[in-house]
Amino acid sequence: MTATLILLSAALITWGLRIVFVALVPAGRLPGRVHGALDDVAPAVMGAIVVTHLAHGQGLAGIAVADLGAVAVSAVVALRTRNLAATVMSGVLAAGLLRLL
Amino acid sequence: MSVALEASAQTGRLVDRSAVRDILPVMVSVMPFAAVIGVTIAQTAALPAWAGLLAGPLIYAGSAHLAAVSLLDAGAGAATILATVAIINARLSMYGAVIEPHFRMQPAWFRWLAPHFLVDQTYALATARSDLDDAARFRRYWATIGVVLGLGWTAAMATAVLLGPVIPADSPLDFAATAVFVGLLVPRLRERVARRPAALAAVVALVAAPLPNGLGLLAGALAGIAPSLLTRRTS
Repeated sequence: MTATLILLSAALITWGLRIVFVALVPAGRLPGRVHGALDDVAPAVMGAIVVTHLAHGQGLAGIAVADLGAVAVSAVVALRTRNLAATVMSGVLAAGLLRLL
Repeated sequence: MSVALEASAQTGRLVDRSAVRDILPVMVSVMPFAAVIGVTIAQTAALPAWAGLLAGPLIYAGSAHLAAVSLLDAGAGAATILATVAIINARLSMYGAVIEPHFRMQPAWFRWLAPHFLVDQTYALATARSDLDDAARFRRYWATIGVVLGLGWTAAMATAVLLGPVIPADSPLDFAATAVFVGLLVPRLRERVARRPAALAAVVALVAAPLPNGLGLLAGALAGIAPSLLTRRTS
């Protein structure tokens, strides 16, 4: 029962974080400096996510050369096609092949 | 069909087809991660499987869900678990601030409930599109990607709970999640202004990667936006 309540509380906290700048303090009311920096959130977060996935919690030492190659392949496909499905499929295929080497 | 008729047909439709096209590859990419969480739930004695599964669509954030279940299994206290969840999901409030203009013209129920679907993937998809200015169009698009992703996420987790480890440890499917974000990030890098935050965030996230509880990701994201936060003039 306690474990269930903890998970329900976790869901409530996560919902609170999601709505805080949507329903409680709309972003339009944020200071101009903060509002201006929001343009950088998407590329910053995505850059951090890609590296976090690659590093497996170990920093530079955790990055596999095969996965770097797969990133290069999927990046080229993303640039040339702008098609997310093609990017994901080519990335997974490249990762599978390069890890066999 | 005239433009007006086509727009009318689009408005009356419950499911946005372009949203389905956008979210399907993303949904497939998150399934291995959902399966990992499902297997962890199945192996956690401190938690009824139904409660762990129910938390999937309720928390709707994989890293925090996995951390909470793992910490429960390790015997951590409620305060530790909830603080960890808050730290891991802190970035969702940043996403909310960015995407808030789309919610400004929405009915109150949507402003309060629909941000529940805010995760890395839905945020990245919605901010990559330039055709969501119409309130009804955004509402349909957002609800479609949120519901479809949630259904796939929960189904994969439930399958893993029932069947045990269904994804081989050496499967390259784990790369799918990385490829999704490469696919969403790289086209943005054509714009010069996006390169500095992405590069700064990547370097700091790499250095901070060994930090626990997703702090490396949060540190990277904050480092990426810090220069703008510190140098832009207030308007």
